[in-house]
Amino acid sequence: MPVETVEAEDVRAGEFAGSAVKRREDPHLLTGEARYTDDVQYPRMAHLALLGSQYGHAEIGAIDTSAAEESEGVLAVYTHEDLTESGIDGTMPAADPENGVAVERPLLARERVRYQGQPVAAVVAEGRYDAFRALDLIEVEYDRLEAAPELEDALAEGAPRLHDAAEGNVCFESETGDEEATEEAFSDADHTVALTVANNRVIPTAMEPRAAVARYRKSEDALIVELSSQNPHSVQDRLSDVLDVPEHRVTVRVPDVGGGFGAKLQPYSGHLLSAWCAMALERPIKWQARRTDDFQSMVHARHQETEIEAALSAEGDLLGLRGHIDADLGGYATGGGVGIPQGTAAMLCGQYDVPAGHVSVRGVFTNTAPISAYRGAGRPEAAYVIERLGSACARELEIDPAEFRRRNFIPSKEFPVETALGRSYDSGDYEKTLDRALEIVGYDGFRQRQEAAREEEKYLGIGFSSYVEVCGGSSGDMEGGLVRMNPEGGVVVGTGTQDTGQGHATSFAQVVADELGVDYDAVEVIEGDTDRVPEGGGTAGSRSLPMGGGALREAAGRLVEKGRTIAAHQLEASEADIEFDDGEFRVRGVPDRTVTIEAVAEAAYSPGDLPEGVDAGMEETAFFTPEGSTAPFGTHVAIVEVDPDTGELGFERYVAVDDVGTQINPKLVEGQIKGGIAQGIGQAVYEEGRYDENANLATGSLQDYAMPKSWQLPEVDWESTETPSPNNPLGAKGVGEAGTIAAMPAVVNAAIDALSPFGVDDLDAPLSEETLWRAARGETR
Amino acid sequence: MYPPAFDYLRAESVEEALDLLSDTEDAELLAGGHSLLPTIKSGLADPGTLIDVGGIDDLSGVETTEEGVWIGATTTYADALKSETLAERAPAVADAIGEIGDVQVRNRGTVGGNVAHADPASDLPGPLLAADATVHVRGADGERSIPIDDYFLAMYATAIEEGEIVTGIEIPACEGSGAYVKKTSPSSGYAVVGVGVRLAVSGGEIESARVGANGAFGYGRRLGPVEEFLAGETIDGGDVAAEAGERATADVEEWELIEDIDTSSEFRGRLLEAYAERAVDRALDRAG
Amino acid sequence: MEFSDTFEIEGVTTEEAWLALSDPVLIEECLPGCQFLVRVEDVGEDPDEVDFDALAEEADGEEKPPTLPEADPDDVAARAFEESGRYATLVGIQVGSVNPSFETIVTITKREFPEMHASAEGGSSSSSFELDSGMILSETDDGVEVDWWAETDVFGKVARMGQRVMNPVANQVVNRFFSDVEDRISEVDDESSSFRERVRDVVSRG
Repeated sequence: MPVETVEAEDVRAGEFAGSAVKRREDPHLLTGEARYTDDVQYPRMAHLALLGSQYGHAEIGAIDTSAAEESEGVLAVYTHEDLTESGIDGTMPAADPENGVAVERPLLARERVRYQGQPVAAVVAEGRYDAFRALDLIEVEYDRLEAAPELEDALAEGAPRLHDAAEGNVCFESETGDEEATEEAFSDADHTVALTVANNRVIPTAMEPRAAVARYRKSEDALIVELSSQNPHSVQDRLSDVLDVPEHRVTVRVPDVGGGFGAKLQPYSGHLLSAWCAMALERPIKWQARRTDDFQSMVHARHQETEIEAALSAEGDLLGLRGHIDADLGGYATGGGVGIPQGTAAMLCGQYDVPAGHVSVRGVFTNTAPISAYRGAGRPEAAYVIERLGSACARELEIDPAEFRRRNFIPSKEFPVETALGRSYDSGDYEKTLDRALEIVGYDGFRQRQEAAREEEKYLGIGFSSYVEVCGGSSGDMEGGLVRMNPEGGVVVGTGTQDTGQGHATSFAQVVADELGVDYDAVEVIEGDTDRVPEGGGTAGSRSLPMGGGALREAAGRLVEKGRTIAAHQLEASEADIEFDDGEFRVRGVPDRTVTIEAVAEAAYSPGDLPEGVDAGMEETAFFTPEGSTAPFGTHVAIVEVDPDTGELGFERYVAVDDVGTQINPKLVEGQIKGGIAQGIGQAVYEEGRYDENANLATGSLQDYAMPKSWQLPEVDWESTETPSPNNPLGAKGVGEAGTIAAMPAVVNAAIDALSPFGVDDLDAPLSEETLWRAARGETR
Repeated sequence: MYPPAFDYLRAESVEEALDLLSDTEDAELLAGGHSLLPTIKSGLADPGTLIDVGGIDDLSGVETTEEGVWIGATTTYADALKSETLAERAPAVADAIGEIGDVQVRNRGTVGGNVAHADPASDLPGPLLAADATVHVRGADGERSIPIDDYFLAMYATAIEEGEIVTGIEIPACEGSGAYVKKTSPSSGYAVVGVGVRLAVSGGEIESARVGANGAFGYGRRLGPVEEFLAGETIDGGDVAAEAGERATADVEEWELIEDIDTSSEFRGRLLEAYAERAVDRALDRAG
Repeated sequence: MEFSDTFEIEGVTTEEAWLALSDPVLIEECLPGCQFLVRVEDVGEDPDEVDFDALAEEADGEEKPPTLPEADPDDVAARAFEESGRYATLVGIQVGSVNPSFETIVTITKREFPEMHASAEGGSSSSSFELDSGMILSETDDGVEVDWWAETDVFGKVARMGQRVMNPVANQVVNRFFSDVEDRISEVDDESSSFRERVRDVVSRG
């Protein structure tokens, strides 16, 4: 049953956390009052357009901008040289991998382009149409080079070399785990099961393409950039770095954002150049990427090819895991491109208790768009590999797949644990979510039903995905929370996370309202302004509630403590005797000696009413660093039907049982899970970012890249359990990515199960009809 | 994406449209714009002038005629769907119009635009062939009617001559049943394959059948072997649909089937058979 | 993308077919949307090196010489394709409302009776293509058999935005070219023995 929402006024004070309050963001988003970056307008604003490379791999000779410069409305046309002439080095900060090489990332191409659509030149014009139309008039001398769009092209003997520093197109190599112990485990094993798993490239396709509006106030040397982003403070750093403007003179603000999903975690050439152009031309500059620009030059995601092997005992206990991941980086290495596959390697034990493991990772350059974070950032890839392997082991050893999982789960009493591949999981109860999922889906009767259906030539399949993921910040992470109560009683809350559709204003208000015992409607939440909230880590890796919420709970708690001191003074009692409940301070045992927190706040701003040694004001900032990350988990089960004659796949059931620790707003949790599942099914069945052999992006628009539509997705039967995290004051675990991490293995395992009578034991996503049809016929395309 | 600059002219009547068409170099006709504008916005087409005929009232509307039904060229899909006479007299065509694009596309796109553009993957060529329609055009030399069997020539190429404009489609009333079934591309929404069927039925027997496919070939085509098989079959003979479907690729060479990034020719042939079966099945159901 | 096929022409000799196929004027008539096909000297394969606007102007209004069988075989031989020769041409594809025009350089990479290969490179403002093609002639009982093949790579906007139709359109364009060639050569039929002898002579001279 979908979670039912409640109106804020129907929630009892102090019970906001845990209640499914209706989102306060929705009215303005749904009635056209939202203000996205493209809605931002300033007088004299001009427009920036970027020319993308025609080829996937080419040398660049002369760029003749003369015709474009003379085109209607054009103010300027810039290339790399113009940037360096202005005194900056014209590059974006590049990933510098340990065990690897760093390669330069120019803002506008210099000498060589390495993916189709890579920005080569910039046009600024009065009107938006003027700017984009002038792009076709720029004449670029391309010397086309042989391209290596696929991993196997880039790794082949004699492959074209994409970067001089990277021999064999390898950017970095790394490993995790214990090779020796793993070899031993394999030599002791009764069985081994090996699998090659491909995680297909997908293109994060947020509803709102990239956008920025930059203004430069010359008289103050102040740069103000408004942009669609997930982490304004990081953007502030980058702008300062790249443009050589002191950070305190850079302001970054984020209007409403139409989805980020990880792809808006870095400023792109367009964002940075809008600022540079604003400085060069002394006019506000807007850059609004078109959908096709986003397809070509926004980061892509998830492309990894993995060989993995399990060592098992005769009874089906996992003894060891070993594997290798070839990770596609694209034409340039991003921080995410380098870090994410290493994160994947560390997550490959999944929910299983594996005594020994060893995984190596190799990051490879290809002539495709650079790869970086996308909802799950390495954990969907890991869950897919280990859950495909788990079902494969069950099949080979002829053990029921649910039973195989149960047998190998990390027992709940063992938590917290550190896995053989180097990850820590804070808490878990894997059997509970598996059991509940099996119950909801009716697993008991399924195999008989499946058998009967096969006799009628109907092919049903069931697929399991028992996933765990690690997110929600880490011991190396920090987030700030500011809570201020005004003398009139209103509460202002600020934190450095960034809403891009998650519902932060709703959930943070719930947390603080409860903590302070004030009206939910009295709490205002501020994000996305580096002037009002000076530090922050943005929103990524499901960190907002554990980290931001954690910091705010801390800060609110401190505010209550300060209030207690002031109340004690007002009530003429000792602090030890002051209790706080439901927004009121009271003297223990004296029920009519009370003062509200609002009254205390008012007093806090009257110096005469304060006790000695207490500063005026009612404001606290807390910086929170957790002991460790959080590990949400669960089991998803999909039942599908596949028609072997047409390859058509339909969903009969989709069941999800997830544990994300304490839930502040169950409706938001449900929404995150279901939205995540939609994106996971998208990758499993519909989406693939494809390049042809000439490194042309073949799926360059929504006409060719198949995003799932609402009617193509199954209804999700969703339930949850709550195993709190010990690692933050809320006990919450991250929820933003869990659904995406879980879904793909459940769907692909189900399709394999459905086609097993045809000898199918392996399938590659996306599960197009042709892929399934050929598999049923014993062919690969 | 942003279209390159173009001039825009509005025609208030067919005569004006014809004049503008002959007088203006490098012009394209615009009706609903949902085939032309995406092509322009994707940077593939760049006409100097668009001549908007979408507002010509004379060309809009579905009418019952003695023999069947008339669809004015600038009738939007949404308006066509409201017509009971179309649903009754041209069921395969009505089915197909309901499958086109989505709500927004159907509110703007026009039947005449679809027929004139002749996208190989659009949804009307197949059912129009099945319905034995006639395309009416007008040019400087006057009116002309083109039987549908002579209309689709090659990819995006029809029998319309330069300087002519489609005025409407005439469809004889269905004397039995009809249906259209489509395999929709999950990305483009166009027909990977789509099959339209019209059965002339009398006394529980199929007197004759017309079966047209789109999406599968470079242009709309009839499936002769399926038609031949169906003639004479009874409408409730068990395996009729399946056996009909099998014959969908009987006189088709694999190279004639479209091969693109998502679907090979071979698989397209398989889908053509499967969807021919489904279309026949639905038509048989409705005949019963 | 790869294409290949075979066609047969009855009633012509292999030499007649060969000479006709070597005639830039005849080929120009078969290339889609082609306004001119002229030899260019001292250029590489890159279309950017040639001033197409100037060539178009020159070609405009120029009268086209006759082709076989009306033409004198010696005249045709004089202008015939030469190995390593480069030719500039404008190729215009017309598919519905899409009609890109490509400034193209064709290079005859091999010309040795009865086999001829050509490569081409063409560009428009945002797209480009590269093509390798060849044909082999063989004598049959009734005439001549022509085996042809073509391989083409497309880059840029057309390849990005036109995926839904690129393959079938390229198929159509290439097939139509060779089908037009087939039509034109089948007209090259003058059974007068003196004509045939002259053609044979001309061809044997290379």
